[in-house]
Amino acid sequence: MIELLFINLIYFILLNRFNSSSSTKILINFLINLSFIIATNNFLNFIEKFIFYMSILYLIINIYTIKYSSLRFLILKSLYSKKKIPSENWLYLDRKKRIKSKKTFMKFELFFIVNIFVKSLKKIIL
Amino acid sequence: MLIILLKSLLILFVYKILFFKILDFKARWFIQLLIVYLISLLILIDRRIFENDFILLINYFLFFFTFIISYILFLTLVFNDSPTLFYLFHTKKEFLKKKFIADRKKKLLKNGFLDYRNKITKIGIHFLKIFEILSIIFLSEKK
Repeated sequence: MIELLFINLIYFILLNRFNSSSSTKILINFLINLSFIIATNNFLNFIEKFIFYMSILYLIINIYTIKYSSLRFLILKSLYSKKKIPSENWLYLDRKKRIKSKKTFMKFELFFIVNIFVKSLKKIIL
Repeated sequence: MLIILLKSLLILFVYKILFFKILDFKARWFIQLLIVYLISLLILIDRRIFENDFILLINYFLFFFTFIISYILFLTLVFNDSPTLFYLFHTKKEFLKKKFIADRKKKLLKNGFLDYRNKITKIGIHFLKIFEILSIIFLSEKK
């Protein structure tokens, strides 16, 4: 696990030096890691490594989403740079624009899948 | 590790149904889940396996810690609602009625990121700077 963590952190640091989109960076990282994890000879070990990798990936993606998509971050950034806090209407239009954007990995298909999990969890625990 | 993880997830699942759904006790839900997860791990893991094996202990720690942090971050989508998810499956009227900005402002104030005059606090500035740096290091968008 320690090797996998360090290798991943180094991969992300190196890949982030390239001026490519976030989706490309994530995809390259995923493919490199998959080949590394598949090389594990034990199935149970493979599953464990895969879960661990997905957790690391999710944490890194969260760093990205906090900077580019978090509302709290946006409010704090506006206040810090002495700008007006965006309105609810601005937020609606921004989300509308984002879903259509090809720049980010946050696409409709991804949100559709995430929504299935969120909806089922909401039904169970809330 | 996998069996222990599945068992602890099952414990968390039962806890969530019992305390969040039935008893409606959701105050500081992430701390509740973290404590239950920690207790379940302490019960489920046989600590004798770590004797003379410090690397194994680190492996266990990294695996279980990374997992629970990611899981809790995912659950924030369930508890806090994501504006993007809400946008996709609701009307504009419903979206505006939800008042996401006002809700997040309230939460920032509650957590000490903003003061009562709506000014950013030191914690808020640190939060901004830490995530700016982390994003520059690990994952940022094309310039």
